Amino acid sequence: MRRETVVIALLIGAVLLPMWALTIETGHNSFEEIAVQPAENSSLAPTAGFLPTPTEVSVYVSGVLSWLGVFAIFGFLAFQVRFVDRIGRAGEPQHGSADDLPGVPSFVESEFREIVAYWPARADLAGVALVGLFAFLTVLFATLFAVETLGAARLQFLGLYAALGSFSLAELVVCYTTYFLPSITVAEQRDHS
Amino acid sequence: MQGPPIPSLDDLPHIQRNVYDWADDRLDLEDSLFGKAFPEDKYGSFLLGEMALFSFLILIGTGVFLGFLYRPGSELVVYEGAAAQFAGQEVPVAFASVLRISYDVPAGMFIRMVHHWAAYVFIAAIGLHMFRVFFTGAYRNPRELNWVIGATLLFLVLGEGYMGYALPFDNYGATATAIGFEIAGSIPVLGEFVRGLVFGGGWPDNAGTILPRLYFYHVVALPLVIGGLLAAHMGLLVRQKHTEQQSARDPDELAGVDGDDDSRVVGMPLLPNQAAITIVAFLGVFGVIALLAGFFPVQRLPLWGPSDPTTTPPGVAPDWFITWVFGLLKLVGPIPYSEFVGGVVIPGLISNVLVMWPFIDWSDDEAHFTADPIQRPAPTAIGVAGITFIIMLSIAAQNGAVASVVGMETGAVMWPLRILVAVVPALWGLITYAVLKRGVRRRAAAEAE
Repeated sequence: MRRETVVIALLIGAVLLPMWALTIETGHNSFEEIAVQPAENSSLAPTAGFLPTPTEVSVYVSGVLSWLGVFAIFGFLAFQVRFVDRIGRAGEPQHGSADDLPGVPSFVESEFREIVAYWPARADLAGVALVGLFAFLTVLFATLFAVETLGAARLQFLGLYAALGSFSLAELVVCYTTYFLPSITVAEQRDHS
Repeated sequence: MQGPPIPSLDDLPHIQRNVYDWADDRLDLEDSLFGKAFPEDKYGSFLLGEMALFSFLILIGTGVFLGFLYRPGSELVVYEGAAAQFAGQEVPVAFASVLRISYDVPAGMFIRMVHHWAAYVFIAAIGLHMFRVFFTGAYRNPRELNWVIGATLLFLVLGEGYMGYALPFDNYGATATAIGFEIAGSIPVLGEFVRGLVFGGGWPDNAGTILPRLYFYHVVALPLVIGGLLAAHMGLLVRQKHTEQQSARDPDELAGVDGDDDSRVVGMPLLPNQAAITIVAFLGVFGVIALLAGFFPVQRLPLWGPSDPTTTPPGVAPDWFITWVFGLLKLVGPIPYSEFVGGVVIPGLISNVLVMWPFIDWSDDEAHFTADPIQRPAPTAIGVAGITFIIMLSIAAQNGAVASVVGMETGAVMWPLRILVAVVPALWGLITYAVLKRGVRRRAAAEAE
């Protein structure tokens, strides 16, 4: 990291971290239990869970968590993008037109756009194994989510299953993209409409 | 008996082409859009706008579900559900409907929490996206209009969040919402008229009139405007094409593309490669929001009870994304028209500078490559000072907590906070400027040698 970037990060951190510390220290999170009396013929228990998280996080703490959440998404996407790039674009690229290169849709090329680099799909066993694994996990967590929704619908379980199902499906798409789609780079003229 | 042959990988392009041709024959598809080039950067920072967009889509999806069950209004009804504290009691209908969503509808609590957290992530993602655009100079000629639309979107989204905060009509949200009504009513001469025109009266006395109006703003008027501006934002992006990070190009890999040729934009085609990354981005956004929704509940109504104008909940504050305005209101202090100055004039000035920034930092020359922030001392220093200013205002908003930490009376910390809010951002900006300017000179000297 360049020294100027470090200085800027330190400057922002010098005010941001005390603000966050103040917020978390005096955030007034609530741990008060909320009483629920399920009706007859109802299995709902939305407040039940397995981790002792707050009953409610305060508005200030929710701000800190929102930013941490956005940074987490950014980190997740950065990792996926680099994975697709590193594995899917290993080796020297090929060059040619859509007619010569397998798996390239006709619309990729136009009067104003051409293919400038192409890496063929690897379509190897590692890809099959990873796609199979994440397909299985996606179905597993989707099933758990559905069962939980139709049963106690506990908030923490729904959140966990939805998140794990979502991440599994994301990895399935990433692995399919990386191993079974050719990686194409195009150059397009800026001045066409 | 033998069935039809199973397609092999080699057949897939033909299948794709057949599907495409079938659709193209009927719909006359726009070929050039499907292959549109999306520039890449190794950190995925060009996906920040998509993070905001997908949060908005999640908000729409969960909002439709909540809209089926929510009832705006303040008339009293008997709540007969699972939240024991209010079972069998008369509460406002809005409060009762949100209790029902949360405690009596399968997955209702989860969907409401996803809606709430998607709103928070939407605002934070817009903020981070704008930081990226600001610091890399992606707002410059010819993309000024898109910055103006994006900055306008930010303020509309803050308003959208504010309207939603009031809807459950719980004592905490209703009390915090009152701050906005006070600000609207503080405008000299026109205040009462504006408050009546926009909201329909004073809050929470006229909640029966105001809640349906806030609900209309929240679920129809503002989403339509936000959706329209998002469409315009993306339409301009397609028309003008994306900026590109020059350092992400590798001319050794790209046939016939120079590293410094900005007459062409280089990237992945929308279909199939960028579309796949876009799906991953959506799933990543939803996954993190689901985790936040599952483990960090917000605005739990039974903790606060329904709106009660005779009481003020302890530690009440507006939602975090307008904390900086709350800080301004506290810092302005007891001067004439203090709410108008702190809640309208100063935020208005800040908002206008933000929206009009591309015309302040304007150049005749078009810029299609993103800039390196450390090579632009003045804009980067101003950006650092601006972020620091907002953070310092957010600290000032928590003046009670500051006083408790430093062991002083709340009133006694106000002047030190005023001085810090004025001095620290300016000092941080100057330090940034000096450090970057020195770095620019150092690199220029190294290149000259």
